Amino acid sequence: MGAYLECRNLEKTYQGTLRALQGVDLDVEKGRVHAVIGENGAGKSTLAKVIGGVVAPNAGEMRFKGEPYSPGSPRDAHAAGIAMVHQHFALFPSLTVAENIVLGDEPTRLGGVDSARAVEQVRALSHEYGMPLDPRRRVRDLSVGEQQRVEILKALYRNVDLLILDEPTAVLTPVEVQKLFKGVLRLVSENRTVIFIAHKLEEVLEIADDITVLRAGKVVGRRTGADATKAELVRLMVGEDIAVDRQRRFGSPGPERLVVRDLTVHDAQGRPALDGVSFTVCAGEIVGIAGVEGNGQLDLELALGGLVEPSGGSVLLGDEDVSTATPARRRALGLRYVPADRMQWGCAPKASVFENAIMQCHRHSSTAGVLRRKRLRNDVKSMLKRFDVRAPGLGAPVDTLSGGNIQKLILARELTTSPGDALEVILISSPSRGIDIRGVEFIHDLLVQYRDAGCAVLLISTDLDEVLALSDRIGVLFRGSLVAMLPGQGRTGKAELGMCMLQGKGEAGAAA
Amino acid sequence: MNVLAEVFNAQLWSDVLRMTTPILLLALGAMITDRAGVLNIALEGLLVFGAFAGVLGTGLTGSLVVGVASAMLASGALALVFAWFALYLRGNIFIVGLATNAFAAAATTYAAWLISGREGSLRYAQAPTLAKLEVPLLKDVPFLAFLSGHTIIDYAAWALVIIVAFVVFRSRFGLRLRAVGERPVAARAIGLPVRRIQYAAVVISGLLAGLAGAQLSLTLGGFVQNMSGGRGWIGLVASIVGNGTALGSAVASVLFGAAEGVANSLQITAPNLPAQLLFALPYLITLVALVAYSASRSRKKGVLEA
Repeated sequence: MGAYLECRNLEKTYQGTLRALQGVDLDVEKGRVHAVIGENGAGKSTLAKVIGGVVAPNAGEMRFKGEPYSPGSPRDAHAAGIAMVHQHFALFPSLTVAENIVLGDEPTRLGGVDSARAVEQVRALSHEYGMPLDPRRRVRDLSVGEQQRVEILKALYRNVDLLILDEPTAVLTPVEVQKLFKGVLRLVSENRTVIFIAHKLEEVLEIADDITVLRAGKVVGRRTGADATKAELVRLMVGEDIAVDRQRRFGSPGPERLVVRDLTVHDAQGRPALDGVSFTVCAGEIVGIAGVEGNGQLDLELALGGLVEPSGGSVLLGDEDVSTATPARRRALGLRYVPADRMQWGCAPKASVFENAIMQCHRHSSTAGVLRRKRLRNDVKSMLKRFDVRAPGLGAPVDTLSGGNIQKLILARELTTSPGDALEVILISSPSRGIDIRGVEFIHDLLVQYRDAGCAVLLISTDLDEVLALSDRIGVLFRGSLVAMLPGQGRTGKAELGMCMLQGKGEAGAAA
Repeated sequence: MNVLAEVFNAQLWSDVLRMTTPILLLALGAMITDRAGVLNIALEGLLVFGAFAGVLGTGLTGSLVVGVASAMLASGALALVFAWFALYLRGNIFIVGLATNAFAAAATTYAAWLISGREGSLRYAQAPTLAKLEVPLLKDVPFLAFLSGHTIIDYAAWALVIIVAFVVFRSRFGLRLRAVGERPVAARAIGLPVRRIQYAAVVISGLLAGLAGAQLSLTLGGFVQNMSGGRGWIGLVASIVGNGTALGSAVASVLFGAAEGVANSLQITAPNLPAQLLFALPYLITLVALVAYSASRSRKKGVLEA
């Protein structure tokens, strides 16, 4: 008698080069949370997609509930009782929660969709699994965590027995993670099964009954949640010991580089998304901006980067007011911008690694408007080496790279300077989202290195650990306002910062 | 003579309603295809095809029912061909659409010459034309009398506003249609037959365009080369300005119908205005509406989130 879901010798090779899965065996027992962990590029997502019917393996076989299982599509997987919740949601923003959930299996009445019944069914379902949602709201108005609940309920509406969650916590705030975990435990208590793809070890240790560790497409370890330790899992994932928490030095602030005064930005509906925010970032310090996602981080980032025009207040780079300046002008004054949404604003996903790398420096390396390709290629090669960007080749489209390598490529492009370039301020938002431990370490070290060299760094992040580990000062955004500026480098605790983020109160005492 | 008094009379409003009908039918069709994620560039050609087939069907059989049916079938069939090239063969939608329009214009002109021996027109002397139906009681109500005295297709067009609104926003097909148009990849992932739904949307818009063509040619009693006069494009614009809703499309269509009606009326009441300017009026209004609409949208959405 085999396991509930058995995978044997799964092989998957992408485009004949990258071996994403190399003979992977996986046994998932019924009614348990089974975590699959590994660094980015270890093959976790590929494994999830194979089980979810999104990707067909080149070799190997699967059995589900004792029956041979080889889904040709997600639809087949649903029919067998398996559904996958992707990192990028497959929802329809203009439709309501109820419509999104019932779509494809709608209750009907008199030739129309019976929306009253759909709303009732969805309400009952969300109640049953402790995932509260208003079925009548439009998905575009929901937070990321709520959208994820819609995805999970969509699977439950189809009565699946096994749910695959692909990096579900990557987009969630700490509070939302706890809500998600409550939902997951509820599912398991109803004898459903969850495969949990993850790379944050604290979360894995908290929720998982069983753990399978992947490295470079192979299974390198199996543990139960009870007998695994963080250090051991890190060693298995990375293949070597790395320091999990690294001590960092203080910055020594110099003159003001970035000055933000009463910055106000209105959203599409005319509501203030950013309301009179003021702060400064000095040379040689990292200022972290913490906050629960959706409290104005994106608006701050875009306004500083020059992608939206503020409706009030001012932004100064050095002595120059750049509130309405173009991104090019800001760049000339020394601002480098690494956006949170890498694929939308950080790179051109379909263009090659080479083209993306030279997007900022091509002006210096052309003769009469014609690019000096040979010279540029050498420049790009040394740039990729310095920033540890691993790409199949200079001509590969950027969207074939892993998230970590894309991020490093963008950093390389932004931080590489040509003679005569100014590099004064680094504006970086959610730099480690969806990136593995080693990549995060690399990026963090890089930021500290640039700070020590005298750069002013503004780090906008919803990852508390990241903000606490790096910042010399920590600002907290709450509903578009900067409600606190706390001391960093260990002088503010995680709990204190968390309370501040949730309640929008500056003093730890008042937060209780 | 008071031009204004003359302009805003019952006859004018009756004309406006008549001018609105084809634009409205086309706009409804364009809205359905747009909701399915297909930009219906071929409307102009579908309209011409329907206008021609309507005259041919009526002329050959002497039956208006056959005429209207053949107009709808002909346009529906051409829409299917357009969909096949654009969706199945994955042709560029603009090129396929423009080719469809060019083909329809040329094919109808040629066929009219083959059949009638006259250049660019087709008319059957004994063929019936669409009758104007008076609505009892309504025709005697002051100010509302202009609502009476229209063809069956004029009335049908307004009934279709409600039917299309129901189908798109309340029916199961409509829900799936909107899902497919919004995110085809996600729709495919949950097992919706994306291609088939898009085919259906294009063919429905073909049927509606056929009806619009029949209204044009069968009230006139003949087919004239290029009698569509850009209404396919105006219909497309009306659906866009109407913000993808049936009611919005209807309001925009009335605006464009009114432009045409007023232009026609001014030709008679203000003969000293240059005719070219009057003929250009509907297109000018279309252009202004489109510019105003896109300006308001880009302002609302912000440049980056469009």
